[in-house]
Amino acid sequence: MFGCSRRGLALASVAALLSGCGHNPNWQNEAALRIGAPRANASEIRARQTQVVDATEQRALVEATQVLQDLGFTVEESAPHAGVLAGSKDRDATEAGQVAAQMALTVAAAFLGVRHQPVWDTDQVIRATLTTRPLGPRESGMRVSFERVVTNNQGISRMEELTGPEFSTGFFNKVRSGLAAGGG
Amino acid sequence: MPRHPLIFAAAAAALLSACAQPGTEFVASQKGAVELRAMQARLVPGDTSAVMRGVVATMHDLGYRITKADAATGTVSGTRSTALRLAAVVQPRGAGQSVVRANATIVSPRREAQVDAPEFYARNFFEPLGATLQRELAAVPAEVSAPEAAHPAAELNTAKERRTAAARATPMTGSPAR
Repeated sequence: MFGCSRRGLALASVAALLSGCGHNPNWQNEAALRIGAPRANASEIRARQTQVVDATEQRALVEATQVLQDLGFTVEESAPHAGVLAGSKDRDATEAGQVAAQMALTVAAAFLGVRHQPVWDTDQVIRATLTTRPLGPRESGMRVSFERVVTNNQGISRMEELTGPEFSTGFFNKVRSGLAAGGG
Repeated sequence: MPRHPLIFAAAAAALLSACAQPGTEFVASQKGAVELRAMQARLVPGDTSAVMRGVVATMHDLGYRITKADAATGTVSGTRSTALRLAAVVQPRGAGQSVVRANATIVSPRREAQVDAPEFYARNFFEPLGATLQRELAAVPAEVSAPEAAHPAAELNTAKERRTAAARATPMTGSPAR
């Protein structure tokens, strides 16, 4: 489910802002204003990540918990009274090709008398955030989002939003199947 | 209202810095308690439960990953990208009214700094919250108490952070092997 097409989001400008924090006394506010700005396509993303399920909010949360666990996630936060469920799963992000290319570049740079710091991805965490709201006696709104946080061998992390419809649609299909099997 | 805002600001900064991750320097805002409260708190029409759900929906809409949500204390905490953390506390205020206080920090490799730009809280949190709830949010009058700023919960995203947290959580039992 998580290995295929995903929309990457490069956040190089954020890294640049954070790296300059030692010189700019207002760095944290400038970074927060940029990173925290409302998304222009928020309603589009919301529509893609939200579906209505025929179940009480409590039942929907129980089923969603089950589906997340079946997908290999560890549930890290469960707050039914606030309609929140969050989980994560770790994966090794090391790719032999990326490491080999970086090492080759380092050697080539050394021949040219230039120093190159080899950088490759080492580990990743996939995070799921699920929020619900009751819509009726047996109807609930459910929103799920998936993100990938990748860390490289220098300890620097970047985030990629997994906003493709296949992520949320696949998740909702599993929730619906579970609700149908369990009698809603 | 506190009689000595600077003392309260210093106490709040000390409390917040105590929650920072080990090895990370916490840089608290140098602004006074009254100024921080004015930018971070709003009076919101609606009971605590509805407003807290509004906070959750707003944070999800803004792209935060929800890391903690506690209905008992009315606290919601989330992370956006890998550097921006936000905690919001919802507190009841009379019939059908709540006070919401937000507090954000930015994390760089060795530092975590409190965000103290009024436009961040206005544009990047309270305006979207008002739109989600379809309510007009108002400044909190001086005579109304507002919750203390909560320190946003940290996400553990690197293998090293997770190993450290797991080691810290594992109780040491038994005697060392000979």
